[in-house]
Formats: sequence, C-alpha cells, structure tokens
Amino acid sequence: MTSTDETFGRVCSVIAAELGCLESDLSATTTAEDVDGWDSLAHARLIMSLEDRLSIRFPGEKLFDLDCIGDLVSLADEALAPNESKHL
Amino acid sequence: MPLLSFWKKYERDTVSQRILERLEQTPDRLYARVHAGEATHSISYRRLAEGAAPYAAACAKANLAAGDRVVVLKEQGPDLLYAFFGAIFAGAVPTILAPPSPRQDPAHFWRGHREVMERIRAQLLFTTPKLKTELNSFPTGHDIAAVTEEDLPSASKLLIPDTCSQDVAFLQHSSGTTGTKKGVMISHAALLHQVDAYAKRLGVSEEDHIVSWLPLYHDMGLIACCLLPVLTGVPVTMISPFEWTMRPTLLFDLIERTKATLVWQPNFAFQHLINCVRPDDDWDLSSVRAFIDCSERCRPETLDQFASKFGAMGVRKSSLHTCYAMAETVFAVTQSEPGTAPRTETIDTQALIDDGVARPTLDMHATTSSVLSCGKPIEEITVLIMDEEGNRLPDRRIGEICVSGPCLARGYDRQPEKSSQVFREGWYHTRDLGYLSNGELFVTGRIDDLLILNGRNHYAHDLEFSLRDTSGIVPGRVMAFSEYRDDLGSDVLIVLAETRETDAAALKTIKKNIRDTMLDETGLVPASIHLFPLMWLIKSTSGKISREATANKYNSPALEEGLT
Repeated sequence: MTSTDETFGRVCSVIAAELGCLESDLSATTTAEDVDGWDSLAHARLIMSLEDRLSIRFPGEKLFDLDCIGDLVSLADEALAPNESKHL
Repeated sequence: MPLLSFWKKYERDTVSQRILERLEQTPDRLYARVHAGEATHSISYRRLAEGAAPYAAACAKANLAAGDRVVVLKEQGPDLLYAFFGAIFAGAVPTILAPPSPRQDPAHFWRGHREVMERIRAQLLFTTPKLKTELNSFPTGHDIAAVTEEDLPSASKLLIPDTCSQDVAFLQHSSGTTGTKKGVMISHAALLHQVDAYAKRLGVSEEDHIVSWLPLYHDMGLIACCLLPVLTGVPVTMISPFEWTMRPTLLFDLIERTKATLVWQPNFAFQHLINCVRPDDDWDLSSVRAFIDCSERCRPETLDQFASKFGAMGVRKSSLHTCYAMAETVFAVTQSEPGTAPRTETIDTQALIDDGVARPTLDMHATTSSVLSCGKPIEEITVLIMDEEGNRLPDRRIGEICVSGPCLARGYDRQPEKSSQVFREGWYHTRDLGYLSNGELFVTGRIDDLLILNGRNHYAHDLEFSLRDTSGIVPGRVMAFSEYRDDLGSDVLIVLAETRETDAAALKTIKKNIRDTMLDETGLVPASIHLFPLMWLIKSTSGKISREATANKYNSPALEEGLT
C-alpha cells in the first residue's frame, strides 16, 4: 500500500465521520459539491479534524485551492512527509 | 440666527463632513488595520483620505452627478474601503456587493450582479482587473464603466461634496438571488443617528478596539465594523471572511494581540469557534467587554457553551451580548445592556402556539422554549408589537415586531411596491415575530418563509425559484426550508423535491444538479437533499405547497423509509 492509498483511506474516514456520508461513496475525484452539507464551515471543521487525526498542519493559503478529495490527499501527503522523516 | 445656524449644521451633518473633521483633528490616528493575505495595512485618517481621493476623482472624471449609483466589487482589503469612501466623497451613492466565491459559476454570478447594476442604474463599477475582464465577458444591455486601481486618476485631496443630511449616503443590498435582492437606501441622517445612538448605548470610547472578520457587503460588517469606527474614532482590525472561515481562531489571535474590546458576529460564528478550538488552545480574551451576537436568532445555549468553553480564557457571561438589527433600520434596533448578561426566559411552548402568549413557566413537565432577550431599543427608536390588523399588542403577546424612529431607511432603491409593503405610516414592518417584556424585546420567529442561514436572509420561495430549470425534478414541486442544528448553532438548508425518476444513478445525478444550481444561484450548500415520488409534497387548496404540513410529514418518523 502506498502512502497515498493509506492517506486516502484516512482522509475518507474523517470526511465520512465529519459529514455523515458513506466512505464507499467517496473517490479521489469527489468534490465538495458532490457531498451534502460540505460548505465552507464544514470544510474548516474537516480540516481541523484531519490535522488532529494525522498530526499535521495544512498550509493555510492552499486550503482554498482544492478541487477534489485527491487534492486534499496530496496536500495531506505533503504535510505528512516532513513529519514522517522526523520519525526515521 | 442660532436656530438657523443649528439647522445649517444639521443639514450639512454628513458622513464626509464628519470624516473630514476627524481628519483635521487627528490625521494620524489609526482608523483600520487590515490583514489581507500576508500583508497588513495600517490606515490612518490621513491615509484613508489619500486612498479615497483618486476614487472620488474617478467619479468626477466619469461626470457622475450627485446621487449616481456606484458599485464596489472588491475583495476585503484597503482598496475596498478607499473605493467606498471615495464614492461618498464624490457625492455618489456606493453599494458594496459580494465578490464571487471560489466555487461560484462566473456566468451565474455575473447574471445576478448585472441585473442588480441595471436595476439601480449604476454608472460606475470599482473593481479588480480580473473581475473587469470577467465583466466584459458577460455583457448586457446596461452599460457600466469599470474602473480598476490601475485606471485611477492621481488625486490626493478630498473635497466636501455638495450633499446634505437627507441625501442617500449608500445602498445596503440584501442577500438572496437576483429577484429578491433589495437595495436599502440609507440617508446620511439615518446613518449618523444610528452610529451616535448605538455608540451611546454601548458606551463606546476611543479606548475601545474592534476586531472583525465580517464581510463589508453585510450590514453588520459595514455599520458596526467599518462606519461606526470611522465616525467615532474607534480603531478596527479586520481580517477577510474567507480566512476566518478556514481558521476561525485567527479572531482570537487578533483579540489577544490588539487587546480588543468589541466583537460582533452572528450566532453560527460563536458555534464555529466552539467547534474549532482545541482543548489545549489558550488565548487571553479578557480584554473583550462585549461579544455581540447578532443578525440571526441568538441562542441561549450557544452563548452558555461559549462562556463555559472560553471562561478560563477570560470570557465572562456579562461580556456576551445580544442585538436585534437589520439594514432597514441601518443596523441596531435593540441592544442588551453592556456589563450585564442578557436575560433568558423559559416560556410555555403550548401557550405560545395556542394563545400567542409568552408565558414564563417553571413547570418541569411542560414543553418549554428558552428565549434570549435582545435588550431595549436604542435612543429614539420605538418598537411595537402589532397584530395582523395593525393593533398594538400588550406585553407578552406575540405579534409582528414593528420599528419606528430616525434610523429608518428611505425604502428600497427603485422598488416602490416592495418598499410600500413594509414601510407604512412611519413604521417598518419587520415580518419578525416576538414580544416585549418590561421594555425588552424577545424574538421568537418569522411570519413568512424567510430562512436565516449563517447570518444572511434568504426567502424560501426565492431558493425554490432558483431550482426551476433543474433537470429531473418536477417543475413547481420543490420546497426549501431550514432546520436548527445544535452542533452548528444555526439553521441549515434542507431541500425536498419530487421526481419521476426511480433509478439510483439518475437520483444521484438529480441531487448533484440541485446542489450545483443552488450553489451557483445563491452561494448556499444544502445540508441535505431528499427526493420523493410525484405528489409527495403537500399542497394547500390554493395550489401552493403547504410548508408546515410538508415539514411535519418530512419530520414524521414513519416516513423515514420513504426518503431517498
């Protein structure tokens, strides 16, 4: 399993818990518009949950430019990279 | 002679006159510190005048006459302030409209904004280069000149415009889709009375400091956090609403850094902060003497949670306040007493429904509702509760909240019919329901189908109309309504629609169509969308959808299985 696959699973699990949708309905191309209730406030809560669950901090300026879950996973992977190297 | 000189002063008491007086007395005093992205701009009165002068000159260059409408369409930042005040100093009438959100379809955005510009016959648009290019891609019959920062003539001095206090100072546009957007006409006199009376009620002094994330196209942001500061000499620190939404704790960073004393925000924002602050986070919030809950129904449970969660950081119950406000009265109608926590009443829900009476009860077995006081009217504002025939109701009787006084707007710009429906015989009929008790106002609901979502007003029929061409749903068989969510401290949007489709994939596509259209047309994201077979929604004998009966049917546990 690649780091992206693993991150994808963790990100989808947080999205499903935060927005009350099914993990099986989510894919890398799913956008916020595809999920009921995914507005800007829900997005902020989601980002905070992801930061807590993955022990990362997203760069604020990039949070407005995400088109789909795949972008969010890539951003999480970028944020995870230095954390993981620290643990090596 | 003294009377004449008084009258002259009154006649010429305008926004520009007052700002020029401050410019003369304290040119280097801080008016606003604006955080825009990585940059921070400190704006003194002198800098404000320098920044506004080229915009005033651009109005003159475009040969604008006094009272001509100017639209300001810019992201939150110093330039938005300069453009707004520049237009006022030119004697024009500016209105700030919401810029497009990142997820909004440009075609829908411009169709709506173009229609508003056409209706108010706007002569000039102050905007950004990007939006100017977009504007030209969506032309209409109405010709409007767009001016960006790069197009501005050089000018550094402001002149006193030939305006008097009864002239319209600016338009405050309501939210909603194009059809129901209304430009509330605010005169200089109404604005200045509001600012003076509201500042007096709050005991505002130059020692205060305001922190705000509120957008300036909204009356709470524009009046409480932009005009009140500039006219009273209270500095304000602003951040963009986009940044705050994503990082709500930026507000607490700024409070701690500036030792802010006054903060306004809608109820949902209190809840958003409760939801987004981690248990080990810590700020010193003790400098804030008033966090003011406004622009949507103030919920006692939200303020209780806020006090409980942030008590250790210095938030006192007595620093949490309520305000009842609307653009039609410039802003505040009532405000709770500074230094004292607003009163909460526990009333018998059955008596409210059956008899229209707010009866306090201690009966543990009764169904009750908690209602938060919004305080007493500010100076020279009168609030009455009226029945359907326009008769004044006594204390504790529920009826329509009606407001009178010198802050009343002049009506809606170029919409005389809509104006005369609600501005009647010196009263503004708010369509809000509530009651008075010992001079304090308690708000309990709405007469019509207005939904208040994240502090902004939307009419249900307007939201439903926006879905008229949505593929897959039966025309006219759609209902939008709101439900309160404890965890969000605000109402959320629910959409119910009928369809002839039964295939799962087709139903999924229809839901996506509804979501996309709603977002494009209104900027709203429904919390849930439910599709039903034909004839599921209940219609009244007049052929209209019966909102109450349909909402009850939707909430009935027996129908849970019928939802798709």
